[in-house]
Amino acid sequence: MTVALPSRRTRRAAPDEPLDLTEHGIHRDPVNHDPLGSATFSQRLVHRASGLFSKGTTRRSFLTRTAVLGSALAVGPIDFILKPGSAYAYTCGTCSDGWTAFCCTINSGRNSCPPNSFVAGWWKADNAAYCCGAARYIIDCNATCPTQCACRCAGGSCDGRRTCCNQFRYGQCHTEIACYGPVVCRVATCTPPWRYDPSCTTSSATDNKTTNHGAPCLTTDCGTPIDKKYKALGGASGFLGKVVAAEKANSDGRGRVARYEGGNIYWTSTTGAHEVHGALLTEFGKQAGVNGVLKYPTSDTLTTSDEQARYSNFENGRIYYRGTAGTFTVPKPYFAKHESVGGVHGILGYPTSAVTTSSDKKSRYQNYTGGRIYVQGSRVVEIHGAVFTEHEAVQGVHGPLGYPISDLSSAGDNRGKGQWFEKGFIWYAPTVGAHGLWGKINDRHLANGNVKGYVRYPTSRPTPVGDGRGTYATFERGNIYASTTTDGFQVHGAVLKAYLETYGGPTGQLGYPLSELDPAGTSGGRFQRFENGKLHYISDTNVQLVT
Amino acid sequence: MKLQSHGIETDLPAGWEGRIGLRTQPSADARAPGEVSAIGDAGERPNPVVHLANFALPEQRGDFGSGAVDLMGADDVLVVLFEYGPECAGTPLFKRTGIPTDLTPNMFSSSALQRTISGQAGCQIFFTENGRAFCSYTVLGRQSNALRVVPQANAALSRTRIAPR
Repeated sequence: MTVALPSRRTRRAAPDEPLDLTEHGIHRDPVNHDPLGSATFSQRLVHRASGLFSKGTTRRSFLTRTAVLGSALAVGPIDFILKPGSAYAYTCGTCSDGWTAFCCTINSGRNSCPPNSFVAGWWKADNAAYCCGAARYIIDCNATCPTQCACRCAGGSCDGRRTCCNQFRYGQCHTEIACYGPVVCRVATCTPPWRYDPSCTTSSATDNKTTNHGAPCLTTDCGTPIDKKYKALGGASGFLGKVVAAEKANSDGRGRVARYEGGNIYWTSTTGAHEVHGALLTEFGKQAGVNGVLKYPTSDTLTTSDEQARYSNFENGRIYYRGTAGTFTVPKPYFAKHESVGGVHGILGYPTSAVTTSSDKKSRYQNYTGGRIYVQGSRVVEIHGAVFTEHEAVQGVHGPLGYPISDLSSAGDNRGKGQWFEKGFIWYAPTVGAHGLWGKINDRHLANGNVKGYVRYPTSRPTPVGDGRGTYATFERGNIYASTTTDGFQVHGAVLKAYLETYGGPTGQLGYPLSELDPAGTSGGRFQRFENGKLHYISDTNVQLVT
Repeated sequence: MKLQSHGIETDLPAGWEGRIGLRTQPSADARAPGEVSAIGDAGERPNPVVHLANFALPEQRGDFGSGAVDLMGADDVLVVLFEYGPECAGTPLFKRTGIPTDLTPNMFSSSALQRTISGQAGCQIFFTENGRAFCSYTVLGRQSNALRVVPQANAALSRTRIAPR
C-alpha cells in the first residue's frame, strides 16, 4: 500500500513558503521546505490510509480503523520472526511512527541508495541482533537537490515507514555536497560506513532507539566472516551441521576457528573464511591443522576438473582426497614443484604417498602416480616417467646415480632429454628409452659431447663385462668400456666391429681400450690403443691389428 | 550553572539543564581485526555532543535527541551541538562560521526532524567554529510556540563557547 501525501502544489501558502536559508548554514532543499505544513502528519496519513477501506468516516470509525491498522502492523514482527532465514527479531514500522523506511522496501529490494539520492550521513545502534550483537550502522540516503520525490508512506507490509519526508541530515558523508533533500530511505549494514562509502568520515553518532528497526526485505547481515560463511553453506541444515565449538581466536594470534559437526571454518584477515571438512579435515588435523605446515585454508573444498578428486588449498600447500586411493597432503615446497609441472593433470599426476624421509635421512620425498619429488635442503627436484623407472631400477638414490640434482630437461638436439644426478646422468629419447650412465663411462660420454657426441644416446646402462674388472655401456653408435685400471674410452664403427668379432672384446687378446681412435687426418694413420695392442683403422672394411 | 568539557563551555540559562558527553571509543577487543564490536568499530571516532534543554533530559538519549524529543511538551526546546571530525571543517556543508545564535521561527520546519513527531519542528545548521565542525540541531516541542521558545534557544546558544582543539 502506498499512500501519497498532498503535493507541495496543494499545500497552503504563507507562512510556509520555500525559503533559501543557505546563508544561515541551513542547507535543506529550499523547494522542499516544510512539505507537511503544520498539519499532523500521522493523523492525516492514517486517516487517509483508513479511508481507503471505506467512505463516510466518522471520528469513531476513524479511531476504530486506526486501531485495526495499527494492530495489523504490530503483529508483523511475529510473523517475520518465525519465517525461516529471519534469524533476528526486528521491529516493524508504520507510516505514523515518524521514521524513514529502509531502502530495500522502496528500492526494488536493494539495500542501497536509490537514484536521485546520495549517502549523506550515518549513525550506529549498539548490540544489534541484525549484526549478531555487533553494532549496526544505518546510512541515510538523502534526496539530491532539487528533490525529485514526494513525501509518502513506503507501503511495505512491515516497513510502512515514510519516504522522502524527514529533511534531516546526519552529515558525515559527502560534505562536499551542501544542499540536501529529505531522507529517501535508510541502508542497514554491519559494515562501517566509511568502508561502505569512502566519502563518509569516521565521526560516529549513536541512536540506540533504532537498534531493532527492520524490514522483511532486510536479511540479517550479521556476524563474523566465519558466521557468514557458515550461513552461506546452509548453517545447521548444511553439511557442516550444528556448532560444536563456538568461534574463537587461534593460539597463533592470527586467525580464528569455529568447529561444527561436519567440519571446521577457519579465518584470517588475509585468507578469508574457508571450510575444511571430511577426509580433507582429517588429513589437515594430521598435519597439525593451522599450526602445522599448511597454515590456513585459502579455499573451500574444490573438485578437480577431471572429477577424480576433491581438494582444499592452504597457504602452504594442498590436500587431495581420492576416495580409496587415499588422502594426501602436498605441502610447500612440493606443491610449487608439482604445480610447475602441471599438477595432478601434468606429468606427476596425483600424490600417492605422504611426504616421507628417505632411509639414508638425506632427503624427503613424495610419490605421485607418475613419479616422485625429492627435497634436499633448498633443492626440490622431480623425477618422472621412464627416467624415474630407470632410476628406480638402479636402486634409486641409494644406487650408483645418487640423488637427482636437476629436473629432466631438453638435451638441445630436438630429440631427447637428460636428467643430472649426483653421480651421473639418465638420458632419454623416445626411440631408445631411458638409460643411466655413471662412473668412468659417464665421464667419457660427457667428455665426448654426451648425446651430441659421436655415439649419441645410450642404449644400455653400464653393465659388468663379467671379468670382475670392467664395465661397458652400449650406445646408438658405439660402446664405452672402462675397468678398474683403465679409464673409459669409446670404441665405434669398424674398430668396434673388429674389436668384438675378431679379437674378443675386453676379455679377448686386446683387453680394455687405453685411448680413443685417432682423429681423421692424423699423421701416420689412425690407431686406437688397447692394453695388449692397437688397432689400425684403414677403412670401414679394413682394420688391422698392430702388436 | 556552567558546563565545561572537551573544549566546549556553556552557561546554562535558568531552568535549563545540559550535558556535554563523549561516547566510549570502541576498542579492538577479542574480535578479529576488522570486525565490529558491540559498540562499533575500533576505527570510528566519537566526538563531543552537547544536549541543552529547558526540560528534564532522560539518561538514555540518542546523539540527536531521540529519547528526549519523545518527552517534550509544548513549550520545551532541545538544543543539540554535535561535533564532527576536523576533516569536515570548512567543507561546503560546514561553510558557515560561528555558533548560530540568531534562529528565527521561519527557519524551523516540521519536516526537519530526525524523526517526525506531531507538532514538533526542527532546524539543523552546520557550521565551523575555531576549526571545529558542528551541527546545531534545535527541536521545538510545538512549532506553533516558536515565537515564544526560539529566543530561549538563542539565549542558550549565545552562552556557549567552542574553543579551538
